[in-house]
Amino acid sequence: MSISAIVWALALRYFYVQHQWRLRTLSESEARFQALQSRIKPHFLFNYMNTIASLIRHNPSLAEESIEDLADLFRASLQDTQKICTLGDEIALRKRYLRIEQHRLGDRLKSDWKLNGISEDIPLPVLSLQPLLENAIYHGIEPNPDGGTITISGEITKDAIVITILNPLTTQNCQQQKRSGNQLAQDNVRLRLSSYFNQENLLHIEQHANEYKVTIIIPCTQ
Amino acid sequence: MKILIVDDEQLARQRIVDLLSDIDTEYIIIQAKNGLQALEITEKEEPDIVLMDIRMPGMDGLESATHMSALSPTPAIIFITAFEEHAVKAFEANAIDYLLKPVRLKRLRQALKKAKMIGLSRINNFQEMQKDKSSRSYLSVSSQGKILLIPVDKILCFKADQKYVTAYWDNQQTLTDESLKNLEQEFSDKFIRIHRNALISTSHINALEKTKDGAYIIKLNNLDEEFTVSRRHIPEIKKKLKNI
Repeated sequence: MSISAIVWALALRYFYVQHQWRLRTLSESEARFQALQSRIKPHFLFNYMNTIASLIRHNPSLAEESIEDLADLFRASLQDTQKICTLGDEIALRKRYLRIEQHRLGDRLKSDWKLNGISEDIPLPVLSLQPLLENAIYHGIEPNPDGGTITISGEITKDAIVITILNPLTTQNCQQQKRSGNQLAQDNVRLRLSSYFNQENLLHIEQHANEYKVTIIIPCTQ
Repeated sequence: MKILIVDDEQLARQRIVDLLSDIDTEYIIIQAKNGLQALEITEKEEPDIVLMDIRMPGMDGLESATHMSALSPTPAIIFITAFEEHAVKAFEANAIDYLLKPVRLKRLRQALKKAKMIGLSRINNFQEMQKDKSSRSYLSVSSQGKILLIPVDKILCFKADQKYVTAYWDNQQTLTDESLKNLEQEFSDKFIRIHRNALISTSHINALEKTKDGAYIIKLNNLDEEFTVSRRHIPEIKKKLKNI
């Protein structure tokens, strides 16, 4: 009787482990696929090509600079997503991205970087901030006729650096925020952070009446 | 020929202006920044052709086109879009033409030709396209070729009286030619049916009260009138109010 119970328990355990293993490989390949998708929004790419087409006649040197910026951004987005960079590198690229969006959106896009005193050589997975910033513009700035300010701030805690991206919301884009694509990008960043730092809950979302806040936590040992 | 260009991005408008002046320097070109502004300008300036982006803040291109089709004369509408897969599909059936950004000179020339050929007074069937989309943010009421736009968020309730449906909003009452049934379907997230002849905006409800004789009434913010709730709608209303 007890022997058969043990055999059963072992068999069950075997199937359970195998099931877990299958789930994990599935989610890994899914993550890889999502990573590809979340790299750059086609919406951004085509609109920006259009901006450059317009700049060529009236401001050729700015058009030139814009193509260089776009090339840098695109190169970065084609990197292996398993790769690690420093917070400083990531921030430099994101500033370039915002400069690009600035040409397109004009006065409607304002950005406020509050990262004084944050150590820039902290390692983190490449493109950790890009999808979040893209979302902030796509959902927070573009749907608003008057635009708004995206605030990127950093804070040092005992064992981590906490980066917060804040974008305004209008009642209209509250509904749009739920649209697909948004979730995908956030999940992707969350997954990559937790697999690199081997820690859960490194990305948090807070939605209030008129603002949307994404926080990422970058653990560091110093 | 008068052409209205609608896009929220200044450089995107500039590009179309440039291309149009490459085609013909005689065009009279006017511009708008979003769908709402486009409607106001269309009403005033009566452009022959509207070249309009789809994704814009405030009111998007599809909704603006829907309201424009109630104007007379109706402009010919050509959509310009960067990347909207399902929207592109929808145009194939209904719009005079659609162009992809960055627009090619050759394609723009073709589209303008097509607009002239089909005739500028063509009424586009944008209501059909609107169906796949999210609900409208404005209702439009037209009389004598003019358009009145009512922001849906400001509407307290709709009341049906035989054939006509009246919208109550901002201390005004406006007759519409919409049906209660369609309104109920389209705005199911904002309005609830409380009676055979009334839809109420859930966000404007002040109180649901029980009278001495056991009937229920609803009171709305900023409106003196009370609304009787029919018995069969009570359970659903209570459920909805709980979720708010």
